[in-house]
Amino acid sequence: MDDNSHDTFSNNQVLSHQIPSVEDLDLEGLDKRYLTAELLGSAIFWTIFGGGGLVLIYLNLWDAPNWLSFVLMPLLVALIIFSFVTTIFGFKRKKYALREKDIIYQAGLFWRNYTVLPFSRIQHVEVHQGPIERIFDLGKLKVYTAGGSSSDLAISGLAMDTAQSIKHFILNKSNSDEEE
Amino acid sequence: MKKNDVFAVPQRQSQLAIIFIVFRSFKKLLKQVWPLFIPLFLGGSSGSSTFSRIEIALAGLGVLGIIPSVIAYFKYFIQLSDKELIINSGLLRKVKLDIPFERIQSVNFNQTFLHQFFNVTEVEIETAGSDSQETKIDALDLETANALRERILSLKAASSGQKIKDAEEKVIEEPIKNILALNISELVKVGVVQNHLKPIGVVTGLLFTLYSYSYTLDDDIENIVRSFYQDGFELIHSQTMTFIIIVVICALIAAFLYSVISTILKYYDLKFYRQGAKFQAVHGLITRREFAALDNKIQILKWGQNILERWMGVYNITFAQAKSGEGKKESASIKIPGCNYQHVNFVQQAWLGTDVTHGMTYMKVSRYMFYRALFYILLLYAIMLATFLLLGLVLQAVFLSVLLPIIIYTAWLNYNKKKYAYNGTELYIGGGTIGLRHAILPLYKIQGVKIKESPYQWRRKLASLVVYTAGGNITIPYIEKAQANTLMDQLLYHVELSRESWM
Repeated sequence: MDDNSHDTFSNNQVLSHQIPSVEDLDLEGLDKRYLTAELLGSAIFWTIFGGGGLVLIYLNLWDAPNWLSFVLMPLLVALIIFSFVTTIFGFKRKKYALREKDIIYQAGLFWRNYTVLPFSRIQHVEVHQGPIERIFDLGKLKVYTAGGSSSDLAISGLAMDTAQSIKHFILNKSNSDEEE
Repeated sequence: MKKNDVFAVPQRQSQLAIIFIVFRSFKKLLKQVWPLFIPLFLGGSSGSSTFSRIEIALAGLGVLGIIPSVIAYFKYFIQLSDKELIINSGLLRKVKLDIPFERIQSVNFNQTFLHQFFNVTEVEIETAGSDSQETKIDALDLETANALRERILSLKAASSGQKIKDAEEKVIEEPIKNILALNISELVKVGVVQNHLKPIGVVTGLLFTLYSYSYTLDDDIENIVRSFYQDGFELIHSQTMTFIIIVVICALIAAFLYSVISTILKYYDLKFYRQGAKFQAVHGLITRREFAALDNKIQILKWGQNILERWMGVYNITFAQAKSGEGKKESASIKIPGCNYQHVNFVQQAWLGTDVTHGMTYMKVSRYMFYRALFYILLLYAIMLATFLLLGLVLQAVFLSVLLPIIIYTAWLNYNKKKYAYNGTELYIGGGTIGLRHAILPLYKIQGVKIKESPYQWRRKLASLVVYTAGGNITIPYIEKAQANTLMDQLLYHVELSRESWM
């Protein structure tokens, strides 16, 4: 409401080395069980679709020329292997960190991204748990900001109690910010 | 002042509200039951019996729509207490809506043609907070509506005055500072400089619909339309090129007229002004709308020119606002066309406090952005060229090759115009191809920062920085990774230090 707030604005010099840098951070990896969960998920997916594909290629219902199945089979196998490899290496890239005033999440094997959300701008936080996650006692932390979904953040593969405690940590932080 | 106190006791809307409620519930009803009509329309090529069925269905719908609407009208009450606006409604399920005055951000009037005819107005109450939604009152007499608005605003000022003593001076009605009012000739100018390419899609769709409808229309109209299209198709067979050119020219003219007329209707009698800590705009002929953009709700200020606007020295200003309510898809941005550079400067200074563009050092993005675009353009060109040549389409291949330098030039312009600046309190990003676009935001509006790297980028130690706000995001593409990291640190530092309310 107050558009005179600019008048009271002070602008002391801050030397760049005094500003905390995101580069110096030690990011935490996700829970190891999450890799197992993801691989299990992939395995189920590929058993159904990949296995089905292999059977279809083998049966050759369309009377496709023989050489085609010789090409398609290895392609499908390569795709399956590729998907497992990217899951494993992608898991290693997924990391997060909490600082005093913000949450950081890094992901992406080929297309990398690194997101930072200040607690003071967070609207609410949720913890989700899917069926596979329930088996491994894992949780997915979802952080919402205002104005649509573009800047929302979701971190899968946290131990359930870690997810819950992060949620409470963030809620406490953003509440105390408002009271100040 | 006596009129003001009317709302001390529960008030109904203007009786004309029934019309609008009926209309609205009709629309809602139709949206839900329209699939029921498909068999009616499809099943009945055999004349009169179909019509009676449709008529019966419509009559049934009408009864279903009208009765609850009339009751809804009689059950809808508006009341003001000294702390909140109370709206009681509901037939079977009673709904009591209390909106505390301090949460009301603005009270806007919207008038469709029908509203204007009856001298009533729709009242829209915008509230703050992320869980909120707008409340709409269908129709109030203009006089009553004005009284309601005055009363709400004065009570709001009074209630906030009780809380903060410093704000007591603010109780006085804020003076209006006019920024822009468009007269007819300026309005036509604004209509002419719009982006006319956009409506081409609409026009093409219209022509196509008209064509497909020509098979279902009756007698005379059908014959006329058919013969028109038949002539058209004979032309296709005889002189394809001439026909295409004629159609294209017709579409261009229609698109031009469409965008000029729709712009004039939309921005008719535009008044853009500043009052207190908000910008306000009123415009429209058939539907007259009021918009309010509160300083703290505005997230990004954008201004720009398309190629026509550049020639005429005209700017358009857009306020990207925080969207109220989660999951609300429609963007809450307000666009003001037909401004000049002084207007842009005024708006900037009014919103940000200082003339911010001074003292900013503009930085360019990496030339790899252009190289990447060039790579994709050439790749696409090669694929298309090979396809055309294989199919023996020599003319198309030549056309494509003529087009290539133009596309490369636009990609180069897009890279060359991209610039960004940062001065410790604001972030600026500019760009454009044949037009120009600018965006500026104070750093405390930022609610998240992301660094993105594609494989092409990280191999070259480059990155794109995305800045998120509650009113949309802005990307600085292809900057040095180290620079992106520093910028990220600085932006976060300012956001986390700031105590200003950002929405």
